[in-house]
Amino acid sequence: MKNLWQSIKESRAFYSLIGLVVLVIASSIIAPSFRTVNNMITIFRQASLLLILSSGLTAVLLTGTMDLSVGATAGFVGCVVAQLIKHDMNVAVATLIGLLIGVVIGLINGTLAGILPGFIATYGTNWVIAGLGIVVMQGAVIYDLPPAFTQLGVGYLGAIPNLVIFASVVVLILYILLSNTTLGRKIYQYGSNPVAAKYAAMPTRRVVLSAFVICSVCAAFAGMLMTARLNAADAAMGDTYGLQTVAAAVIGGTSQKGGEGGVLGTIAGALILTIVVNIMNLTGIPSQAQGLVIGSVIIIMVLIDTITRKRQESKMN
Amino acid sequence: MKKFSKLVLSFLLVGTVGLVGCSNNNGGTSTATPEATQEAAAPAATQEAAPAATQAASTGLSKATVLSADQLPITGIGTTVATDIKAKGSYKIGYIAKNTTNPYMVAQSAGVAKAGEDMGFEAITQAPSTADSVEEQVKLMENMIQQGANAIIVHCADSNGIMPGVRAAQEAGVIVLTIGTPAAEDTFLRTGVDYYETGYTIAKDMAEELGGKGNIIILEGPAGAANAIERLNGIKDAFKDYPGIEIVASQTANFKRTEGMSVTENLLQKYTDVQGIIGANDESALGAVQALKAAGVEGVLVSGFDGSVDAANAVLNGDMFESYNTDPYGSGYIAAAYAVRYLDDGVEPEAKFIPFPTSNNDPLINSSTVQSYIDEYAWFNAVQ
Repeated sequence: MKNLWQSIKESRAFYSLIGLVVLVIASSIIAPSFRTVNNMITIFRQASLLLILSSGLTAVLLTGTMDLSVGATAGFVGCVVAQLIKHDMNVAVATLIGLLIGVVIGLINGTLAGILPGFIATYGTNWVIAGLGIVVMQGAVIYDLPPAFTQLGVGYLGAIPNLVIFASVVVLILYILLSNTTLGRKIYQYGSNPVAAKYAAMPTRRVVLSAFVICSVCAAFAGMLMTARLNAADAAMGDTYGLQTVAAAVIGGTSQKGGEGGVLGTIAGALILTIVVNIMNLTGIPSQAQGLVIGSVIIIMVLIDTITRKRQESKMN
Repeated sequence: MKKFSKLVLSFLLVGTVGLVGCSNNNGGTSTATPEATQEAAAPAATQEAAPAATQAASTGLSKATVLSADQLPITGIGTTVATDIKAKGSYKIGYIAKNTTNPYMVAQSAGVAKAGEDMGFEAITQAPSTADSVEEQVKLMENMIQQGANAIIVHCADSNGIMPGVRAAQEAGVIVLTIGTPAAEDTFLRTGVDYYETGYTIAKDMAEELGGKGNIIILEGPAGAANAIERLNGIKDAFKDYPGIEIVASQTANFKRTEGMSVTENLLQKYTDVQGIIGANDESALGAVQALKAAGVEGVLVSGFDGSVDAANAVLNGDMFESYNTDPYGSGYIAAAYAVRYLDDGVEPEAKFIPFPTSNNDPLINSSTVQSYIDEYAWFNAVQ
C-alpha cells in the first residue's frame, strides 16, 4: 500500500490528479446541479473528444517534439468523411478511409519533424490541412448525415454514451502501448535522451514517425466522432480543439521536453478543462470572465507542476 | 504537506473568482452598458413596428435610420434584388470582404458583382488572403485607390484598424461604404443589418410565440465583439416588455456550433424547464438544436441569425423556430446602388447609417416563410 502511494506521488500525474479531485469537490459545493449523475455523464461525453486528441498528442510530446496540427487534422478528416458519406459511401468504408488519411498525415508530419523543429513543421502543416479542409468543403457546411453514422457520436450503450466508450478504449490502448510495449519504452527513452538513444542504435526516426502516426490517427478518429456528434461538418470545427489539446496534455504533467509524463495525467488534464467550462456555465459566470478563468487554471496547474519538480530536482542534487 | 496546502489555497482562489462572478450575475443580466440600453430603450418604446435604432458600441457614430421598403433605391431581398439605377459613366467600384472562406462573405461579394452587371459598372471584388486581416484590407483599399476606384465598399474586419484606409480614400476623393461592422467614424454610408434591431426583432417574435411567458437561454457571441454585444442588447431589451419572460442563463458559445452544443448541454443540467433558446448566430443555435435532440428534449423554440443553409433546413424540419435573414447578397447590392446613384447625380443617402434588411423587409424565416425563402430568394442560392 505504501509502495502504491509512493509511486502515485512520484508520478508526473500526481498534481493534476489532485487538482482534478479538488476541482470536483469545489464544484460540488458551489453548484448542486454539478453533482448529478446526468451532469457527470455530460462531462465525460464532452471530454471524450479532447481525451482522444490529447492522449494521441501525449505520444508526440513524450518524444520531445510537438504537433500543432491536431485540431486541423480532426476537422479535415471529419469533413472528408462527411463528404464521402453524403456521396453514398458505406459508413464503414468511409471511416476506414478517414483513419488512413490520419496515417498519411502522421507520416508527413513525422517525416518533416525529423528534419525541422516539430513546432514549426506542424504549424505549417496545420495551415495546409486547414486549407485543404476549406477546399474539400468549398466554404459550405454539410448537415444531416445518416443515423448509421451519427449514432457513433450521439448513441448510447446502455446508460453510457458511445463517445465515452470510444474514448475509454483509445485511452486504454494508448496507456498499454506507451507503458507496456517496446515501442512505448523507446518513445520514453528517446524523449528523455535523444543522443543516448541514437548511440544505443535505436531506429530513432521510426520511433518519432510512429508517435506522429499514433497522434494523427487519434486526431482523425476524434474528427469523425466530432462530425457524428454535431451531425454536421464544417472546415473550421477543429479550431476549438487546437491548443486546448496541448493544454490538456501539459496540465496533465507531460513534459514538453519529452520523456516524462503519460496518458494518466492527460486524462486528468482533459477532465479539468472540461469541468471548468461546465461549472462556469452552471454558475453563470459572465462570458467576459470565462477566458480569464480558463487561462488562470492552465497557468496555476502548470506552475504548481513546474515548481514542485524543480524542488525535487534540487533535493536530489 | 506544506506543498499540499498551497495547492488547496490556489484552488480556493480560483473558486473565489468563480463565486464573485456568480454573485454578479444573479439578475441574469449584467453585460449591457447603461448608456447603450437607455438610448436603445427609448426609440424601441415609441416605435411599435420598427424598433429603430441603437447607438453603435463606439461613440460618435450615427444611429440607424430605418427607411420603409419603398424609400430604398432597390426592391426585393436576397437574390430577388433589383434596381432602376444605371451607371451614367464608367465607374470602378471596389468591394473588400473579410475573408474568402465564409459563404456569407462570398455571397456579399456576389451581390456587388451582380450589381455591377445590372447597373453597368466595373466591380472589383477582393478579400485578404489571411482571413479577417484588417491590415491587408487597408492595403487592398490603397491598391483600389491607385487603380482609380470611384467608390469602395468594405466589410471591415475591425472598426479602428480600417481607418488608415478610410482616410486615404477620403483624401483621394473616393467614397467609402461599410457593411456590417462600421469604421470608427462615419463614412459616406453604412448599411447591412443593425445588429441591435435583429436581436430585438427575433426576441420579440419568440416572446409573442411563447405567449409572453417562459424561461430563455441566450448563447452569446464572443466576449467583447461589438456586433454580438449590440445584438444581445436588442434581445434583452425586447424581453423587458414581457414580465413573464425570464432569461435564466446567458453564456458565450463564441458563434460556434460545437460550443453551442456543449454549453447548451451544460445548461440543461441546471435548467430543466426551458421554453426558448436564442443563439447569437445560426451556428450556435444549431449546436443548441443538436444538444436538445441528443437529450431528447422537445418543444423548445430555438432561434438564430443569418438565414444560413443549415438554419433554413432546420426551420423546414421544425428543429428551429426562426432565423433572421441578414442578407449579405442584398446588402452588397444596395451599397453599390447608393454609390452609383451618388456618382450619377450627387444624391447623398438620407442618413449615414441606413440598415438593410430591417423588419420592414420581411427578414424572418419561420415555418410560414421558409419554403419560399429556400425556393425563391435565399442569399445562399447565389453562391451554390
